[in-house]
Amino acid sequence: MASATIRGREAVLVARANGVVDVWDHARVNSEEDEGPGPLLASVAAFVVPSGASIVDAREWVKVVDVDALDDTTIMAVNALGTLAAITLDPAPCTHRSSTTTAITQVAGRVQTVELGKDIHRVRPCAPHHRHLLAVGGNERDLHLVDLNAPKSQEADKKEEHLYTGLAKPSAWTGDVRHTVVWRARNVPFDSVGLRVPVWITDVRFLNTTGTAMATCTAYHEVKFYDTTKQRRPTSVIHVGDQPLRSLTVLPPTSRSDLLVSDSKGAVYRISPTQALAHARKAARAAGDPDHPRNKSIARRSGKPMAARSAIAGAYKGAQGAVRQVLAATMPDGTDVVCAVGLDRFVRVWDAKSHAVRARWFVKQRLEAAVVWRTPIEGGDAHAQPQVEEEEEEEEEVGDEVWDELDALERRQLGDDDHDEEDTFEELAVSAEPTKKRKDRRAEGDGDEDNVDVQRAPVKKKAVPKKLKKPARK
Amino acid sequence: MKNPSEIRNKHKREEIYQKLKAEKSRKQIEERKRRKKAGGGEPGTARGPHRFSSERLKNNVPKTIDNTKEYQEAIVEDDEEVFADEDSDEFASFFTGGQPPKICVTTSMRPSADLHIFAKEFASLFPTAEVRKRGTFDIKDIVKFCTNREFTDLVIIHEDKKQDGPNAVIFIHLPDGPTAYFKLSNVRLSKEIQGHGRATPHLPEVILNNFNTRLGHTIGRFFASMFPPVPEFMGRQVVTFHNQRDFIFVRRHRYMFENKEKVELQELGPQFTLKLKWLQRGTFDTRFGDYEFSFSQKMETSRRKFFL
Repeated sequence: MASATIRGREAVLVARANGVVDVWDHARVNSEEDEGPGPLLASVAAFVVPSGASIVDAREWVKVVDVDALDDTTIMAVNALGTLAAITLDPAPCTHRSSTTTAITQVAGRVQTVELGKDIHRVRPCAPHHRHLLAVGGNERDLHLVDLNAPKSQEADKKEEHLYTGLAKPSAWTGDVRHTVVWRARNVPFDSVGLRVPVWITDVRFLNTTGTAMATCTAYHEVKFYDTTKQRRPTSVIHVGDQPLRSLTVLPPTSRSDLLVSDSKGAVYRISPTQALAHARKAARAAGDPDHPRNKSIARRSGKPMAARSAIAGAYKGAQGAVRQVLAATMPDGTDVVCAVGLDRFVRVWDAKSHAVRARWFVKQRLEAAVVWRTPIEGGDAHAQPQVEEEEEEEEEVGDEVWDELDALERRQLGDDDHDEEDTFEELAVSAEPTKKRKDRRAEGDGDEDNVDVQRAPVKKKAVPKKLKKPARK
Repeated sequence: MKNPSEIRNKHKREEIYQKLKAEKSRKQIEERKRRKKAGGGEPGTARGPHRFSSERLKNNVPKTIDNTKEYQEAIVEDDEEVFADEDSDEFASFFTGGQPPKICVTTSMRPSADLHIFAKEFASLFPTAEVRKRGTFDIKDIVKFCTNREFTDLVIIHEDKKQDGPNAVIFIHLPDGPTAYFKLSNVRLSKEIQGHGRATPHLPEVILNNFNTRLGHTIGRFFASMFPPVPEFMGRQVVTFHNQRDFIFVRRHRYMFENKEKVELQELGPQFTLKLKWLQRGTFDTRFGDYEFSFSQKMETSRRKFFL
């Protein structure tokens, strides 16, 4: 899932496991007009199974692994077999109000494909300025940067220590899809018993706008930081917990740009490289002095490595199942919040600083992804349906603070008919109530949650209740 | 009257407390006499509780953990969205498609004789189950073999120490359904049950009690999908999965109606208790799989909070 601007409209891209990518204009989702354009801007069959493929292959062929926008008119989707498809949408993407089905409509426009290789788990563009620069990683596919614009001459060699200086000025996608790998990472050295350390990247994020600093989280419970201007190996590796990590995000600068990782059993950790550095400095100052209070613990005396824990700056508790996506957002009043969605069918929001639970909704479906939304909603809420009212009531008590938008994907097997998806998606659109009550207006062009300095419109301050009231009992 | 525990003098404290107890006991005796006079009986006797006044019963409902449970948002009431969600989950092929179950029951490696005997009895609960020897295959390999042979479920009964008997069960729905790991306790074979009956090959009815939350629904559907959908009422056999406080009690009975109001039960087959430890998406992959529910002590924030 991703939020992007398509043809001037703020849109949410939703990729489904049956190969369909939807572009939803979120602003229209809750409007009650019967006429006029509907919320679904376009629904594209990103991947069509070639004839003669076996059942297992067919599933892999249509399973969309990642989706994002390359520019105002083109979306990019990557499937499980590693094919990146760049699909240009036609000039007037919108469907009638009544059509909420995810019908497989191939909209007019070019589809260009390029092969990235198999076992890719994450393809993330360096938004918002360099959407053609993609960070790619997967199972036994170490991190590499692919620049769709760059000519083959800039391809990084596998053997040489080729460094990448990044892109300073904002650049647009030129329209070609060239598989040019401009930088490849190298694995860490062999471990203490001489074995190669396996690599399984599950999520990647860019840490700066020029595309030179990245962080990845792996299924071997590591968070790795890379700096393409310095070296190909990771600059640091932090071991977090003992479960595979599922998703990674970056907190805004107001929270020291720390990272958030989530694992497959419901833990959400906050990783602070700055804290780790501070700890390392203190340890260095105390090193060699056996009487220093820092060196008095048994672990320290016995020589065990202590650095691992110093980067973990706390956890956000409560999630019961695997957290598939963790997000950071900034509330209108300036506080940062952490949002997690996962397989336990809850959406949880914590205050980033105090780790207190701000809100918690049971949304009845296993959630795969969530996106932070920042534009106002069109349409009135005069004819709210009973279900929405109920939720609204809950919202009121929570205090009208939460304004992230949630869409959900069901984890489904191939072969489910469109009817099911329509049902669930529509219902979710209805119950996506938080946005209705917002009064603030933001004039932002991009809803991406990357660590980017974006000009923000002045916002009316809202009173934040000190305590979270209990939700209405049924 | 001062609380006797606040009196610091031990002798005086004892004295006051004994007086209090005597007073309480005297009051109780008087109350009983009054009740007997009014026509009620002692609970547990022949003139027993149905002689109590309905008034008194109504006023004296004791607070139990079961009726003071903490509210869980995940409790499912009549909800269209949940039903639609359920209609498209991993068990849809059984509930909407009518695919009959075929279960493979096996054990952990190097089972003791007792474990194998229990495995056979366990398999007798499910009409379409068969027991296979474990050998030295990995669970992931067994999943593949069973999928190829069109099994719908794989059950692995696990024991830690041979003398302690089985202590865990893993249910894996195939081809890529969820994996549930339960702790097993209070296992009794049918011959250990007083007055047990012998089960017949008739298809049993299935009773699922108290699976209230969304997670409970998933587990309930899991159990339901392991039995053939249409029971043979001629056999009068019923398998019950009763959830209470997150423990699932599994029993098998034969019922017999004496008349319209009175029914007699005879217990057949094995009885055991299950407690869900974790539920994982996909087939068995504890290292890299995603957990939908994984019990840990941190979740136990209150004695009145239950997850199923």
